[in-house]
Amino acid sequence: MSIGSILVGGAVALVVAAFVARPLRQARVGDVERLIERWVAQARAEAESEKQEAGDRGQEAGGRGQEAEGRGQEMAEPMAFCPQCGRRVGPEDRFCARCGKPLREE
Amino acid sequence: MLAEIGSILEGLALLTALYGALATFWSIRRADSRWAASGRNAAYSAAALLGLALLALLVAFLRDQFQIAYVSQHSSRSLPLYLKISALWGGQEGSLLVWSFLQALFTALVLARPSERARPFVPWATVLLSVVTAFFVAVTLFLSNPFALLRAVPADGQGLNPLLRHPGMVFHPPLMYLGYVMLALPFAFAMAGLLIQRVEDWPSIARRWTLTAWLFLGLGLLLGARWAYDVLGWGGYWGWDPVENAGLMPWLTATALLHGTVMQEERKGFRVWNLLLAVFSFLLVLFGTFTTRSGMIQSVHAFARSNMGPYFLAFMSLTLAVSLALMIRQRRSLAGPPSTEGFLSRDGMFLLTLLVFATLTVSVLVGSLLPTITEALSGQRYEAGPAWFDRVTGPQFAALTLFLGVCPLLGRAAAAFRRLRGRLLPALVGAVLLPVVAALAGFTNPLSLIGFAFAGLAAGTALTEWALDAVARSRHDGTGLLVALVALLNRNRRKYGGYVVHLGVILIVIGLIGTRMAPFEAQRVLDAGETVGVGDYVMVLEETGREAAGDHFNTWALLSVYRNGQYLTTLRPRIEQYPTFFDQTVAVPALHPALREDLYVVLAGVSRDGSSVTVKVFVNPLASFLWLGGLVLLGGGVAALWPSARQALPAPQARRRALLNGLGLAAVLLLLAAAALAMWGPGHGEVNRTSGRPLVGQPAPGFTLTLLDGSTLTLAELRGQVAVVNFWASWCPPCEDELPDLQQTWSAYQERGVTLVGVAFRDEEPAVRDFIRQFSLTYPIGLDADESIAARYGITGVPETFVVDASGNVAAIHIGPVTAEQLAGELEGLVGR
Repeated sequence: MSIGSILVGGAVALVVAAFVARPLRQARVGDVERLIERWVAQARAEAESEKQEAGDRGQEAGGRGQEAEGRGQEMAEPMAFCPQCGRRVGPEDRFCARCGKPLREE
Repeated sequence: MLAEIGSILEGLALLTALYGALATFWSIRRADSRWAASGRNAAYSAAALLGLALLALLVAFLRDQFQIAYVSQHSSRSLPLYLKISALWGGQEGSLLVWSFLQALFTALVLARPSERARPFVPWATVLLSVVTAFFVAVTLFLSNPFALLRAVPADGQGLNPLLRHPGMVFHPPLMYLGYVMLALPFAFAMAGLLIQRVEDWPSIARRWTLTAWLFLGLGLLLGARWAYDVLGWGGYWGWDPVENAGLMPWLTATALLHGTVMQEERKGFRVWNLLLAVFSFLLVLFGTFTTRSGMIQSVHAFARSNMGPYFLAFMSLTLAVSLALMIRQRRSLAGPPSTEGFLSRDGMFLLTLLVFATLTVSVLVGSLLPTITEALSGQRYEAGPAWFDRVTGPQFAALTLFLGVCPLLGRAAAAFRRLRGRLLPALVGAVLLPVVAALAGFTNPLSLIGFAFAGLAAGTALTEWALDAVARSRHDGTGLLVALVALLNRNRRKYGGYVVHLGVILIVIGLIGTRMAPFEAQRVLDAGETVGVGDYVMVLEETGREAAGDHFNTWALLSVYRNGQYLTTLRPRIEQYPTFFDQTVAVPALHPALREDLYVVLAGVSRDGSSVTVKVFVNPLASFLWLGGLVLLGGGVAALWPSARQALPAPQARRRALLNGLGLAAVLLLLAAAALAMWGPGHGEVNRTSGRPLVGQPAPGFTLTLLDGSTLTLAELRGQVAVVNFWASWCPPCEDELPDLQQTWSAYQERGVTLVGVAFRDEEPAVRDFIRQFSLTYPIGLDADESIAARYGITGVPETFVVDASGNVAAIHIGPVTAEQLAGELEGLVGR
């Protein structure tokens, strides 16, 4: 392998890598999204743990605990489904993860 | 350095394609559009990298870089430019690189600007297509790299296989590869549809890609058949070669898929059928390239045996497994709406049509695999020859032709009879008319008459459909009939383009019936000047010759052909011999195409002294219909592809769309025109002549010759006498040799009512007078200044002598110098009377 080939090959590889990686560097929007996701997950977790305690207490009462759990789940997780393929989607998702349909009016 | 860069580019393309697949997959999982964009850029990059690699290979060819093994195997210094370019795809390694590039290119095109409807499918389609691209690049790079180097650099390359040195090489392989590569697109859309649970509308969304793939593949097959007809010299155009079959099968399934798309758009179900057709079209493409490249079959098409067979097999199995798994997983959504129609409805007939397409494809597949299967099972290789294929597929093609005629006649079963009444009559007229015409033209084989009946029925149906609709429209709009016909095509290009395609198919069927059921073949030996009858034709061997042309030798023969006593044409078949390419010989036929039949002459051999030749003569009835039908079929496909008048777009977009459409249309029409030119244009071994030599027994053409002494001589004046007309020239040594003999004959027979006339051909007066003085010639001699006399007598050279009897008919012809003894022998017989 001659020096010339290596240099040319390396240059091309760099250009391609830069071009391919460019969209990934649009960190801002994505990070904000992930931030929001993390907050929502945190809120859910807290609601979950509260619900758990309520459930534990409820278990003594039997069926009522299950009901609370169910309601708790409903409250902690607002139901959203993709209008196109029906997959469950998160409240802050911009695209459906299965079919790619844009979920926001933008 | 070029080779190293090429390999590096291939490697980078592989990595990029793999990354693209992964990134797009990740974007689906994570609902992250950044990864999708990255994957998109990766797909663009892969296409660009492979394009650059291909460019590097092209540069290597153009600059005769023979240290690259592939270049030295398929090129040479003296190879014409256009063949150096087409050598890119002339061999195994290069064609794989071309394939990889095209695959990457179309992946990029699919995701570049998808329509709104197609957008949901694009992510999964990208993943699949990137994987396919990566596979082909991997095979190219690791198993069959065109950039492999030779240890010792040869001074010159081997040159391209003589069989491939033909303009067909420029068009046929790239078109085939385009068709093959594009058949991955409906497959990708089908699988994406399964994955996002949209099994109902994927065929409609993928339709344009499917149709374009079908068009390219069809044009490639047509040109391949034509190329074989033009060059290979065995009189035919389709040998049921395994590689030919490998191209035909995906075309058949793609045709079925196109029809299934229509049915699915009409909410008639066929979901499973369309999915299977898309999967199998792609699988058959893989299978085709596997058989061509694995060394599994013997064929003039096959590339050298290589070790990539198992990998293709593995990839095919994986594709099949994944496709079936996805279909099974989504089986509940695959059940279509229940059909309320009976069998004798359009849907029912369509199902029947699909079945026949399926059995046809399977028949061809079985036939192609027969040698391999029988060898594996019993150790003996049984080849399925062309006769087997014709016998097995013939009835199926006939059935399809019948359905072609019957399906449009049936609408919904309920309204069938009412509909039938109006449209049945013209169809029946066609079904009767065509066989009658054919029988009158001489085709009396009952099977072929049945075939003509089916074709006539189909033609009647197609024409009626269009005509009736046009009549209705013209009545409604108040426009003329012709305007209505065109307006229909403009309004609904899909439907009426489809009818044009069907008409093309019918023309092809007519051509198939003629060439398959009534061909004529004969072998003859001809001596110089001898007339030989072959079928309806009479042939005369004029002369033979041998010349050097570049890197090969041409041995040719000139044959005059007459039919029913009339001069038809002059043919020049030849044998090309390539001492630099393993002494390979190519017999290039001479072809005289006509509507009723093609006359096709191949030179089998020339005697050492050039005085006699052996020729094989083929008469191919209705062959021109094949090519005509093919062009009509493709024209109809283009029309169907064209977007119909849609809702108005805003001005700048509309202008841009119109411009793109216009460019596309121009390109396609140019391609079809080029194909037509290749088929019926010059260069098929016919020599342009105004007329031929009169045959013995025919009237000698009259003429008026201005003699050197100023007087004129007219042949008509010599009626009642015997005349000897001698064409000669002072620059022709054999003419010089015979001059004494002619003078001797003149002296002997002048008193006995024989007139000898010398016609100097392309000569000058001083030189002629010189010869007259030198040989003491006393018979009348004149100059044929405008060569009109020579043209009338159809001479091909000098000397030629015609003996004309007292009633003005040709009694004898001598091509070449004549002796006094010969003339005396003939004249004695004539004068004595």
